[in-house]
This record gives sequence, structure tokens and C-alpha cells, in this order.
Amino acid sequence: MRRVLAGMAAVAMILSAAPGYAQDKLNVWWVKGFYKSEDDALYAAIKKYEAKTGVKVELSQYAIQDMNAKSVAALDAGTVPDIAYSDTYDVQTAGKWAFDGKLEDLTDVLTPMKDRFEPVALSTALLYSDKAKKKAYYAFPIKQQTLHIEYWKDMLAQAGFKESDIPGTWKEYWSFWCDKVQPGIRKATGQRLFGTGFPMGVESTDSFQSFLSWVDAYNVKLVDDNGKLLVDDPKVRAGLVSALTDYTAPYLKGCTPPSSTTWKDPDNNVAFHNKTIVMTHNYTISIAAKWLDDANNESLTAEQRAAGKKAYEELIETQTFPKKPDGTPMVYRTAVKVGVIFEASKNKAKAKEFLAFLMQEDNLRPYVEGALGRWFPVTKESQESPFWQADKHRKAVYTQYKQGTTPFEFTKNWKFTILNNENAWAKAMNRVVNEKVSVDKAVDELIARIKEVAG
Amino acid sequence: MSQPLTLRRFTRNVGTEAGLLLIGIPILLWTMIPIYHMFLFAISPKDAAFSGQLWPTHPTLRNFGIVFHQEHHFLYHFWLQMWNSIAIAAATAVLTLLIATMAAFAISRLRMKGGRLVMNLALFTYFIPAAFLAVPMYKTMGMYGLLNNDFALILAMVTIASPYAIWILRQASDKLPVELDEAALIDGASPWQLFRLVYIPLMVPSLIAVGTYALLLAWNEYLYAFLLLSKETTLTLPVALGNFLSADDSPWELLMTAGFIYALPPAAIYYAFRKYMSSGLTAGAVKG
Repeated sequence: MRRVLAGMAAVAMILSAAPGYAQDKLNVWWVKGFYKSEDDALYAAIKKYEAKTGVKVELSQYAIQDMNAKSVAALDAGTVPDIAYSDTYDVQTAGKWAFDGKLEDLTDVLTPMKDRFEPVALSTALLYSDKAKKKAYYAFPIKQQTLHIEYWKDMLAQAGFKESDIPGTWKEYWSFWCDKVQPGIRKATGQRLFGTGFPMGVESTDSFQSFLSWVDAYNVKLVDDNGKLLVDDPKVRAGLVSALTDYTAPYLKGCTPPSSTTWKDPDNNVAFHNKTIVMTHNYTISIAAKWLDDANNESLTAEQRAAGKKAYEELIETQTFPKKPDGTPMVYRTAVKVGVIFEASKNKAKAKEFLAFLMQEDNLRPYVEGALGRWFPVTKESQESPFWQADKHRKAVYTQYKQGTTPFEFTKNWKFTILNNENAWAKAMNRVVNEKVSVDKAVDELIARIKEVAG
Repeated sequence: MSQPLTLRRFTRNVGTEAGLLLIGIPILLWTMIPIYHMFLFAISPKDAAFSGQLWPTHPTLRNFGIVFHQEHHFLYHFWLQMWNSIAIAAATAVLTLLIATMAAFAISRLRMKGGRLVMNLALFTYFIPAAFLAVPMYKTMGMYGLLNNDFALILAMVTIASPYAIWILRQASDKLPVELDEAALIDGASPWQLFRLVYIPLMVPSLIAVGTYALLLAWNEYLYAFLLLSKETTLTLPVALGNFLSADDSPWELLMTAGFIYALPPAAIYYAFRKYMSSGLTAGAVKG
């Protein structure tokens, strides 16, 4: 009997200790970094946090395409992590989660450090909750990306042109690659190469992110700051018609590979690396960074590393956009990547403590810079880091961000995430180039869809 | 008289074989071309992976070296994740066999009360696609505190594999002559001895087939593995390979190499047991 009682007492002690033990654990879900240096920086920050607080961080990392599915399943099942970050939350889920009241208000964490952030970047974390009937910081910004132009300098030379020949005005700029560089490179090589690579695939994010920059070039505002649709304005319609006309023109003129309409996100990179296209536009400088990665990759041969170094340092150029059609400088659309703490998190206090720790300059900067320039910082101090002056590609990114940025529509009206997910923009392009519908009709259909979804 | 008949038969045979070849060759190509492309990627240098050539100019085994030595960021846990896959697949096969064999024996040979109901329930589970049960399963495992534990995946896989396994084994079991059981019982055999000494030896082909089915089911599983497991050290290889798609400049040659390696064990298992596969899975299929 004594043994039974002793056993019961031991079990009771273990059970009573269990909640205390659980409180000292923090469940973190984080997207898997593309580079080892990214993950190493995250691990280092976690280690520092564990040493400082005694809290054990249980880190789970998933591929970018898996994060949303995993997070949605966890939300449905009520087993959410304490804090989570994915490169896709901003474009696909954060706005809706905030609207539905599934996210924790992080105002108390972010407000004290508000001045450290670049304002546009921080503004994208200000989301509306229909449950709380207010806007608040329901997400935290980590890093951002924008659209860059990449071209092969050697191919340009082969086509018979110098960099100084590239026009700085909108119409002339795009005509240059299509009407001059393409015939030049084809004549020089005898191969069916293309002057440009315009992503137009419905299954890619590059296509709509690029197209929306064309929309910006025509000064089109689809929503106001309160998320109200502005698509009934005739100027908006006219701007969309111009943007769609310009964006589909290279395809119709045969200046981008026929397969561009089915390209997924990696495909313009692949076409560029294969030198099938002379120029493309891409969110992040991943195209150039790939060659830097090759240059530093010990598993490659010395020749391959040398080729990587040469491509990164000499042959590939990262360029800012030409002036907008109205002659003013381009303002770049920035996609600010955000993380969240779920309202159902079991350990919100510790999660906020971890967030505050991670957002410290010493922790966040190595993580962002670990991506070799693919991501741009959201804090003013990190933006001025020597890292962004270290080479021409990073300088170009820095210059673009200093030129001014504008956020995506979904930060003001979350329903635009639906339009982006279904890629209403690429569907409009495909109506024009594949189904031979007039641009005006495709734009009218697009506007109707925007009103149907986000109205 | 017999000459024209032989000629006709010969012509018919040639026609039949030609027809079979016409169907077989495209199917063979259709099946082999993706595997060939996977192999082509695996033996191509990084910068030639997308060259579009039918055979690389400079074929290399370097990609296999990188995978085997875990030299890439996404492959640091390659062997551990391979082991996880092996352990989960093997455990699933063993547990499924254990449950299904005993259930089939009880239903078919011991004529347990309610056996028909169990069989009907087992078949009923196939009305609901496994993917629909993923989130409820995820929630259940969370309630039991089994998330991020290999055992959660094993249990899920056994749950999915068992109904079909019971059904197959019961069909095969029904084919065994009942006189064997009667003879053993007259000799004084207990149900356990009947199971161990009579039933199991006679069921070996079906057991191998069903075990292979359960093993391959777990080996190829992605959705449940992705949902139920989290830490890199507990993941199975297919889920871990998803990391290769996390950026727009994936090292495809390494992904294909790892995929090619991962495809070898099930191919070897299938070919080792292929003679049991068709006979084992169709045993009793024509029984009324």
C-alpha cells in the first residue's frame, strides 16, 4: 500500500511539474533558409536567446511552399506554434488571418522600436482585424524584396551594344531590348535567343509581382489607404490598359520565349542562367546571388567557382528601372515579409519576448545579410550597413530602395491576396496573348474580377 | 489440312504480339523517360543540368558524392532522414502485418462474431480519401502529444494501410482448405498453434505482398509525414527534399540525385518480391 501511495505521489509530482516545464519551451516555426548562412544566423540568435532566458526553443523549419499548408493545418487543429515566420505569409495569409482575428496584436512589442523601422516596411504590418474592429500591428516585418532588372553584359556586347546605349526612358527602354538587342544577338550567334524574359505564368508569383510594377509605372492606385477600391475611376482603367499593353507587347512581338506564359518562379532564372534571354526582371537579386553562391561553393570545381565569380562580378548587371512613362523616377513596390504570433498561441508572453530579442539589430541583421543580398533589411540601421555597399548588385538594391517604395494592395485590403493567389493579373495577360482577346476587354474582365473579390 | 491452320495461328500470334508491343513500347517509354531524366540530372554537372542534351558532355558522379557526404545545406541530415524513412516504413510494414494477419485469421479462420462488420467497416474507410483525414489525424496526434514524433506517422500509416491489408489477407485466408484447421484441431492444436504453425506458413506469399504494400505506402508518403513531423532530425527524406524547392534557384541536380537514391530501395524490394506481389495481392480475388 505504501508503495502504491509513493508511486501515486511521484506521478502527481511529475504531472504538476509538466506545466512548468511546458512554459519554458517556445515552439518556433520558421521557413527554411536558402543559404546555410541564413539558418546559421537564426540558430545563433536562438542560442543567444536560450542562454539569456533559459527558455528552450523548439525550432521547426519547413520549405517555403509548405509553410502555409502546415500553418493552416495547425490553425484548424488548434495546435499553432508560439511564433511563426514564412516568406509567403505577407502575400497569401497574414491579411486574412488578421481580418479573422487569428493573430495576436504585437503593438506593445513593435511600438517601442517603431523609430528603428523604415516606415513603409513597418506600415505593411499594420493590418485590420474585423474581430477587434481596429488596425494594429498583427504581424512583424523581417525583411523585404523588390523588382530588379538583370542582364548579361557580355550578351549585350555580343549583340553590338554598350551599356551606355541602354535608354533611360520607359518606351525606348523596353523597345531597345526587343527591337535592337534581340535582332543583334540572333545575328551574332545564329541562335534563337530572346531579348527579354517576361514572366507570365499563372502559377508564378513573379508574373503578378512584375505586372503590378508596370501598373505602378502608370501611377495607378487600385485601392486607397483604407482599402477602398478605386477601379471605377476611368484613369485607373486607362492606366491598367497601358500597363497590360506594355507588359504583353514583348510576347506578342516574339521578344520573350513562348514558354513564358507557363513559367513558374524559377523559370526566368533558369532561362537567364542558360543565356536563352539577355535580360529579365526578378523579385530579389537571386539571379546574381546564385553566381555568388557558386563562387563560394566548395563542392564545385575551381573552374566552376571562377565562372561564378566572373559572372557575379563582371558579366551580370543589376539595374534600376527606367523612368516611368511620365518621366518621373520609378517608385518600387516592396514586398515586406512578415511573421506572426497566433492568437491561439499557448505561450504569447514568451513569444513576444523572443520577437523583441530577435528584432534587435545584432540578431536580425546577420539573418537578413545571410541571404547574400536576396533580402533587403526593414530597419534603417541595417539598410546603412556596409554590406549593401560591398558590390554593384547590392548597391543597385540599395539605390532602388532609397528611391522610394510603395506597399502591395493587400496590406490595405486583404482580399487582394485572393486575387494574387488566383493570379487574376497573369490570367488577364494570357487572355491577351493566348486567347487573342483585346487588351480593353481583358482589363474590363480584370476590373470586374477585382470588384467581385475585393469590392 | 493442318498447314493453313498453323499458318493462321502463326499470323494471329504475330498480330497479337505486335499489338502488345505497340502498347507496351509507349508505356515503357512513358515510364522510363522521367526516370532517365532524373538519372540524367544526377550525372550532370551543375551548369549542364538544363542543357537539354540526351547525354551530358561531361558525365560526373560528383552529385552522388555531395549527397553521400551530406555536403549541401539541404542535405546535412540526409542519412538520418533516410534512416527515418527506413525505420518508419519498416515499422509500418511490421505493425500492419501484425494487425492484419491476426484480424484476418480471427475473421476468416476462427469465424469470430462481428467479423463481417469489421470487414465492412474496413472497406468503408476507403470511401473517405486519406487526404481528407489528414487534418483530423493531425489534431488527434496533437491531443495525444505525439506531434513531431516518428511514432505518430507510423500510427497514421498503419491506420491507412490496415483496412486494405485485412481485406486482402482475409480473401487469401478464405482460400485455404478448412480441413487443414480441422486436422490440426483434432491433433489438439490451440488457436495460437493453429495460427503460428499452420496459418502463417501457408500465408507467406500474401504476407510478403501485403508487407511490401504497407512498406511502400509509408516509404512514399508525403502529406502525413509533412504534417505530423516537424524537426529536421525527425523528418523523412521526401519531406526534407521539399527544401530544395524553397527558392527560385534550386540545385536540381542534387534534388534529382537524392531522389534517384531514394527510389532505389523500393525498386529493389519490388523486384526481389515481385513474384509474390501479383499472386499475393490477387489471392482469393475470384472467390465468391
